[in-house]
Amino acid sequence: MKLATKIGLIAGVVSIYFPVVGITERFDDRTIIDGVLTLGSTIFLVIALAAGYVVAKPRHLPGEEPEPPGPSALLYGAVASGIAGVMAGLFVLLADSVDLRTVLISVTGTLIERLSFGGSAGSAVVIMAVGGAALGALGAGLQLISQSIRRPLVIALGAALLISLTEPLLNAVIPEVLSKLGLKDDTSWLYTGGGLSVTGAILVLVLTFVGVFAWTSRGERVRQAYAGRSNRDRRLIKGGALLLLALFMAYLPQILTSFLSEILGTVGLYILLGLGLNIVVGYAGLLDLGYVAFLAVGSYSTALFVSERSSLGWTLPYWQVVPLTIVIATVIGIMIGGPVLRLRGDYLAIVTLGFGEIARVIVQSDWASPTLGGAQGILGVTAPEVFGVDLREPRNLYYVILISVILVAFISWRLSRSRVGRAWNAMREDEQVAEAMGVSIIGYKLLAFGTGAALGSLSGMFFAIKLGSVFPSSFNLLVSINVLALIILGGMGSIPGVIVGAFVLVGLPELLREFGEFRLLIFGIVLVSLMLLKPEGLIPSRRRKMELHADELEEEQYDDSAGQGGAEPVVT
Amino acid sequence: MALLEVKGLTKRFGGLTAVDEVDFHVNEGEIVGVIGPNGAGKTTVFNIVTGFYQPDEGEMNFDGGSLIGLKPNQVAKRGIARTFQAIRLFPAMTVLENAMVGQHCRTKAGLGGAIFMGPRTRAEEKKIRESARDALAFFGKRLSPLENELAGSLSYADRRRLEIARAMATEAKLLLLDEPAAGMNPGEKDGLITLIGRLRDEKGYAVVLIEHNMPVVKGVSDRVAALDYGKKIADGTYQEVARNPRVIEAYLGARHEETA
Repeated sequence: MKLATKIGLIAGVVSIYFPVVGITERFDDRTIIDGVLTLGSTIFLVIALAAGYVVAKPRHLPGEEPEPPGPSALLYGAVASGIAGVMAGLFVLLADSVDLRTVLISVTGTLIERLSFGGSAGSAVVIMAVGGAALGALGAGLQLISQSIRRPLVIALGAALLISLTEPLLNAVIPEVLSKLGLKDDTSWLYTGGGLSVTGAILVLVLTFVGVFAWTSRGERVRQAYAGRSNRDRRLIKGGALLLLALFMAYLPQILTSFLSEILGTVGLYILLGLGLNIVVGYAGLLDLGYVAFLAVGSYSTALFVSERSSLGWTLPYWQVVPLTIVIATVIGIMIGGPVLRLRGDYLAIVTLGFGEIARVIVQSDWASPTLGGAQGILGVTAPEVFGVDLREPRNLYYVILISVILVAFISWRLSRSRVGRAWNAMREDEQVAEAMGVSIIGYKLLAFGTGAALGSLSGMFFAIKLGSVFPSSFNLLVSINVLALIILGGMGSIPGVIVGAFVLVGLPELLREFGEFRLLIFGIVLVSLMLLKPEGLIPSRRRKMELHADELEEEQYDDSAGQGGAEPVVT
Repeated sequence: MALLEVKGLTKRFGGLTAVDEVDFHVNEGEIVGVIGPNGAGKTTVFNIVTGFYQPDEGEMNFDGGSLIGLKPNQVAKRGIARTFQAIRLFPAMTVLENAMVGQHCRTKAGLGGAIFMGPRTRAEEKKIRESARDALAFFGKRLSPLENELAGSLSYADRRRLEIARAMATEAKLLLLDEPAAGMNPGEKDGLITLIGRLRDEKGYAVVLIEHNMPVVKGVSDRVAALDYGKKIADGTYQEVARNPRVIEAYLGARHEETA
């Protein structure tokens, strides 16, 4: 009951917060299901459902079997969301009697009217309390039904929400696909009024529910069948899946709007950066906060040798610039690595942070500006044709980036399972022991910095071409932080993690543009909840998962040894 | 000729002389126990021999060459491997990978090899895997079936075993074991005695072990050296050392009748 009150109060505060900052009113313009539900109302529904769901969640101590929630959970769920409803209702009452607009400018008359459902403010309290309690009980009820139904249901609801929210994108893409398939490019069966139509909503809900339900009941058998296959078969299946994915990615620009292709290109650049930094941070465990320096090195080196307006006065063909840039970046990477060899963890982070800033300051300085153009940067980075491919064409650039991503991902994958990768991992786990096993710490740290720099500079090369010019202001600390964040978000040391992380961290804010001023607020909420729910990242490598759940494992072990007592077999 | 020969080894930390003119040697295929109270400088000697500290004075010769000035990774390559007092595995790597890291100093595939996986790298990777599996197989059915488990999820005794397996995978001639019996129950200690004996008899390793547990020292050591306050106070068979009045005074105290 105490918990129910607590969660209820939190939910209450949240449900007051949204209307107060103006989100509710703004989001009411956005349809989720045409004529039934707006995004503004959806938020309240989700809050009330979630509060009940959380309260009813069975709690247990580690090692104990969770007790299935009884009917009392319904009561607790209703209480929690009821409390939230009462709070929101009282707020409406308050806003109705006292003019809050002087402090909270978003609390308008229309908002109050909207929140009291057309009736008096007093009735709002009743409606919200009763409605909240009902929804809370419903949310708690989700915990009562069996897992095999609950999971598909929750996922189906989420999918409907997601598909509705991405309407501006999908509604632009789907007609293209349909007409390519020779069908009528009419999407009114799915989308009307900027959101899902009623039929569309039912369609999505049913399809997702059935799909996920089938997977949860059959998936285990499929997985076992997969595990039962021979190593070679598994490799074939995996390779085939990856090939399909690559083909799909290659086909994407044909159907996407130019805005989406643009985003995809940016995400690609960040994937390249992420894969490079992943080697330094994820594999070798060297926390580098100055990674943007290598993006800068790659960009400037490209600009310098490619642009006719650079200070050199001569240009090199692009295919010569690529290896040259990689060499320059590697050398600089090793130069930066040299002085920080003795530093670890936080100290290393601070020093590399300094290096990142130094790179930017040097470019802007009077000393370097005759060569690098100072604050004006270098203009006219028009990559001419490379082997007959015009890189100025965004679609071609996209393919080049796609190929680079595949290449770099392949290199990362090979490295991770090689002698070099093992040495890096050992060094990350315990530097001294790795050294005692014969790993040259100095050599492998420099190797990590060098490799990371080389891969990072690759991204810089495309960056310069994509923008057509380079400016020192593009290479600020935020880029380093973003790249690090996408690695952590996706799962440290995991290649698919980096890719998914880049899509979420770089792609998502772009897709949220339609929410204008609330874009970053939503993005923040998403990030915080992701990290709370999955601290090891979206697609963690096995190692990382282990690290974050080490305490639990440790505990299990105590239980084990306590159970077995002195019966542990002897060493032989 | 001795495999490891140490003469006049001295290490000072500020005003403290942690190791004071210690002489000792280890012959091939010999098991030497090092005993002494806490803080006597036993682990410091290990750290000097393996290159983690450089000695202030003294000579160290191993297998026909000096160890002075070598880094730990170079010492490993020369053929000395060690375990640690507090178990230090790579907990988030698998059991097999832990042992494979041991092979690092015997192999040389670099970045290029890793990316292109040419025939030479493939052959080397196969050799790494086989040697690592051999090292695990030494422990019978204890470690091999767990080769894909994460090292951090092993039981305490298995972690100790894996540490030894990892040291064996370096293809060393000399193993330095730092308190291998710490935290083991009597049954496990008996097993350890057999195991260390097998290391010498089956694999031909020379072993130096630091140990507080007298039955283990007595059970395996061909020779015992005793340290106190950084100085070597006795050297000889277990019986000789255990009867030495200085050792009794420094380490065994009045209870020596029970332990001896």
